[in-house]
Amino acid sequence: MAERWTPRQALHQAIGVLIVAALIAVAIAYIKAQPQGRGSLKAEVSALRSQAAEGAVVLERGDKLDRRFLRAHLGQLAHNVTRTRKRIADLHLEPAVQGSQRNALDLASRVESSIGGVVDDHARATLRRSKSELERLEQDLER
Amino acid sequence: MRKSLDLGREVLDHEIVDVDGVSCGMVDDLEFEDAPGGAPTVANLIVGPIAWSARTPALAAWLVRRVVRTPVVRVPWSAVAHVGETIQLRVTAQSLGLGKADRRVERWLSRIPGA
Amino acid sequence: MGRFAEVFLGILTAVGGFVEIGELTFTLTAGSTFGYGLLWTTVLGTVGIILYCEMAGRIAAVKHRPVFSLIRERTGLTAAFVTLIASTVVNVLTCAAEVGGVALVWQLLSGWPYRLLVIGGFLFFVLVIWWMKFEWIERVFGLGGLLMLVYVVTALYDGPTWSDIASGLVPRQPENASPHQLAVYWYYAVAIMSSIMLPYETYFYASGAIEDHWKPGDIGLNRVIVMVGFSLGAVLSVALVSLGAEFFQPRHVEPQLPGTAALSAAIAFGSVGLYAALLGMFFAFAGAAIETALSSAYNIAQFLGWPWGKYRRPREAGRFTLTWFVVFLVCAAIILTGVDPVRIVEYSIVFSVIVLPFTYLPVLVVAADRRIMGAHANGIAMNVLGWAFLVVITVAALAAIPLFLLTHGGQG
Repeated sequence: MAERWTPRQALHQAIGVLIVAALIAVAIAYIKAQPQGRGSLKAEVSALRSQAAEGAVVLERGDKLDRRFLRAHLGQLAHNVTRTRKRIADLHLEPAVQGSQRNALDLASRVESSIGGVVDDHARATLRRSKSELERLEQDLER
Repeated sequence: MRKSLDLGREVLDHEIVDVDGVSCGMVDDLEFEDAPGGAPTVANLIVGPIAWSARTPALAAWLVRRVVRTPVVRVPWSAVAHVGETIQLRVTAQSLGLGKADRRVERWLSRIPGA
Repeated sequence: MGRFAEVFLGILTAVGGFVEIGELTFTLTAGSTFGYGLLWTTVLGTVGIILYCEMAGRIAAVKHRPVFSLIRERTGLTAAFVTLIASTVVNVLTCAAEVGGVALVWQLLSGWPYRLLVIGGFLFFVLVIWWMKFEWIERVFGLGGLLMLVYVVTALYDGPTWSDIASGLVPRQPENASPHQLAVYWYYAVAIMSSIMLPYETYFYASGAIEDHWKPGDIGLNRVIVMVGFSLGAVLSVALVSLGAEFFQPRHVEPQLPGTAALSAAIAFGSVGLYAALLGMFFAFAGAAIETALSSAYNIAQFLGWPWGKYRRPREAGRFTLTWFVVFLVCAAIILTGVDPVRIVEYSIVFSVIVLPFTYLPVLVVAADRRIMGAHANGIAMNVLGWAFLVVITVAALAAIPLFLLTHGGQG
């Protein structure tokens, strides 16, 4: 069977692909090395605010919901909060936003312990407060 | 009997079905031979990854060549009964050596209950 | 089975299978973020999926050709090969997300550890596809998914604002929104449309038509099932947007977990609502997992010419069987790494929009071709709509990645 392609063509294409891949890798590395702006932090803070708000809703209704569901759902929610907290901590931000980042991390820890811990009035109050503060932070970062 | 057959549109890249109605590959390439009287005619249908990958960019073809060890299968034009939506053969896939990989997997699967 | 029963079951199955984890979270979140402002995208997406499934189903009934054979024949080998790889990646990612979603739902029902449930899910899916006949799989998971209608009941119970619904059906940007908010709005528009028109639905529908041995006489059946079934399914999508707007928005919650969605039903109707929602989501996600895994196997087998189909015994379609098994294995492995299923489905939805034009163009071209379809080719209306949609899909495909990057993955 006659060949439609030559190994040399394959080599040229391989080189082309590698060059493009290298360029993309360099571009990604460059972008990652840049400090990010408030937009990235706001994205995570919004997620955190939503998680805190949901925690508040669930804890308010705690006694009316099925126990097993309650425990399992709070577990999944707490897991998501942990993920968000880690993502916030891993963000490499501009100096101007770093204060907000510390604030967000602090709030994240509080939300994490309220949702992951005992369902009591202290947890409910903490969540409500954290939610309000997160909303304020979210609005600040919007500007 | 049909007057003409557009090989590119109606044969290439179409499914091949054997006499028992089982799919046994796609027409991955065509092989021609010189007939007495000048015009080349279709000698064989070629089936196999090495054949269709040869029609993709060289890099893909080279990679497939490295990975796939099985040679292509040649299906003589005389084995073709009818060209329609699919290419119907007069014979079984087995007799032409098509679908070997499937048979291998199926032998192995047959041991599992419910197969 | 009587014609009427078949149509009826087909419609119910289409409704039950309409929503999967990606569409669930996206529509709820869109409702929570923009109220009813994105309602028009659910309608648009529904019209799109009706069009393309009708065409693909018609082609399957008349020509007994499934979608990927058409793609290989029509778009040239290299384009088809690239489309195959891209669709397989999208299908596998979606399948992984659904498998993860099922494990999450099972955890909400049982309280057992997540990873154990992922492995249990893997075994469950493999056994179901191995042992159950195609018809039964369709029926069980499609009808079970009807439990999701509890969300429609919940939305009605919460009292939607009908005037807002009406104005949400008209496409318009939110007023006085920052450029950032606008970008998020359009990102959700693209994502919702994409989640309703996920390619696996068309692949599965067409291959399913061949599995069910449809003939040209079944074209009417095809049309009714597609139009009525998917339209009713769209009611569920509208209900989810409404829940987002009426239940979640006032509480400042953007649902990113199945349990969050179930909360709305639980708070409205107690345990009955909760279990209906959880079981409904189980059947819907499980059905989607099965469909995406089988779609992957269908696509690869159809492109390469392997014998395929659940109507064949596993020992008569060796590599096809192996393929769906490997897909589940890969999906379980992906989910066991602990990555969030909802994140995965987001990536797959964005990526799938890009694959859409390549999937739908061959379907449209073949369905419109009188030489191939004869009297069953597209009428003028179908052609106009079909081509118009292709333009819409292409625009969405081009905008998808820029929007995704601009909005930091949809969160502004």
